[in-house]
Amino acid sequence: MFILAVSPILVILILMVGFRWKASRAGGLGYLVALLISWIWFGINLETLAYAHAKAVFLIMDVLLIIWTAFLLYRVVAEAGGIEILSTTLPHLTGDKGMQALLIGWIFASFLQGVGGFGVPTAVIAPILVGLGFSPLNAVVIPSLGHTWAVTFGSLGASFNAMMAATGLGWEVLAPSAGIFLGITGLLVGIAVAWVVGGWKTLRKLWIPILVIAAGMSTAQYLTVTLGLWNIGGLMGGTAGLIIGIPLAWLFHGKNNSSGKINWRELLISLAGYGVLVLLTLIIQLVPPVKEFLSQVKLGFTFPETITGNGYIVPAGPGRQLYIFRHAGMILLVSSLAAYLIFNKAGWFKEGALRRIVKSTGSRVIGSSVGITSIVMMAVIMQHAGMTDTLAQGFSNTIGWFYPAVAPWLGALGAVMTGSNANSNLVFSALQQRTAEILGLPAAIILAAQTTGGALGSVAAPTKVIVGASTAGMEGKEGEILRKLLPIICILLLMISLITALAVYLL
Amino acid sequence: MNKITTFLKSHPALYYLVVFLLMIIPALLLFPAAEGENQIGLIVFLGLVILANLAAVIPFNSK
Repeated sequence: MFILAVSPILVILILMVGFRWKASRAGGLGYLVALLISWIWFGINLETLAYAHAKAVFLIMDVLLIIWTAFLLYRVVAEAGGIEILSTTLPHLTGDKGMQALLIGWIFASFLQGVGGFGVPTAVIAPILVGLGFSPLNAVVIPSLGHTWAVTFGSLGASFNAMMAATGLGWEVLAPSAGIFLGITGLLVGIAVAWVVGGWKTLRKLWIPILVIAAGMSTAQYLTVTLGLWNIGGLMGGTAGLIIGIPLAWLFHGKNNSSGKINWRELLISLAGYGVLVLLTLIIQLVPPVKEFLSQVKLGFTFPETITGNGYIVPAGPGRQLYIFRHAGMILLVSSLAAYLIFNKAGWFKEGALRRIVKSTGSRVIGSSVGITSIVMMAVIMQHAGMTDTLAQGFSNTIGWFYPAVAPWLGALGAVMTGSNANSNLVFSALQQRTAEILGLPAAIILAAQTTGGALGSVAAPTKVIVGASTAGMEGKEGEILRKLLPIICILLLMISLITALAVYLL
Repeated sequence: MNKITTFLKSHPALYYLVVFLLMIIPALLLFPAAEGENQIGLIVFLGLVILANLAAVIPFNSK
């Protein structure tokens, strides 16, 4: 039964990694395999399947609303030239190669992950680093590593939201552990970036800024997410990094500081959309009457208990509830509109901008939406058929006490195979949660390891490596990038395994 | 039908939009069908979701 239960996941893994299928294709086949196995071997009936599908719709919409609108906001800012302004301003601040890598490849990459994600950090930063004289290989590897720690709370919290949706646990349970694990990862990737640039020599020279920046970014992200503002956690971490990193870049400016003048007015306007986002999120989350008023409209069903032919029971209860007017997707949509109006008034748009924004957003997100839909449906069917439970029992029996060390690797595997931390969380979070429950381990810590592993693994996903390679002029040399990236990712994963085991057994 | 298929295949975003809607809308309608114990509704809507997933698997343009 274990082999049957793991089959849908294996199908996706083999098709995406071995045959390089897109998530939209592989997810569809994974769904069909899950449906067939759950029906023939796990005794799922039509009624249970119906409730599982309806439950999945709300999970899917919860995740997709953020992904669609986050990319829309990014496109509005990019179309107005805001990302270009940031990209051209930052290299002027320092001539020191190590500091440039930290400022652009770590801090700015984290900021971009906070606001955009979807492979944007590497795509934007790799060409900038090539222009600054970095080798194309390092130009891809540095931002790939630099933004990993911001993946879970980046993309306006899409991956974290996916984990909440898949497990049914709230931010107050999941955010503290995830914030700590990802904060530690932030420091580790800062060290890794400096090491890639110049080995121990650069590390010895820049250890103070690395420590100060990591502390600032991680603390900002931790405080934001533990206040319930998880959708701007990555953004606040990245912003704190910029606030701390810019003066530090002046201090460590190197010999050939170009000292170009910064147009602060332009810089502030370019960040206006994200300013509106932060302001709206703070008002909605921290002013109770506003939150109550916007919570009046909620979409969702209450589901009855379901039982399969094999006797597996899913208890009755409400599925995912969508508070549509205070949903992160709605806040992002309003922020996108506000950003559009601000840029329009400032005259930053060229003719036909609105059409280009809508078209590029639609064409970029719709393919991945199909993949996410199939994968979530597959995961919910597996849960309702008892397949996830079978997998969890199998893992707990075979791995047992060693499981905490395995948890981050499972998250990483999910991200490599599905191309994203969000997808990994959708596929594996419920399994990790159930395994933790069976073994009597703290689910919040195991899930923090899951999402941290997912964040680290996502950068080694073939799709992201291909995007990075193409923007740095390394098409066809993806293997070379992976050969440099994978050992570092594996070392970081080993450290997270150790931290997870220590957190589970010593705390 | 052939014209529609050819048109959709030359417009990937539109094709995926149709596939996505074919997954989401019938999946949502499965809830009232299950509540009303409407067996035909259950089979039809589930069939549509399966069909949409099959459509997602079909290759075009690129893998």
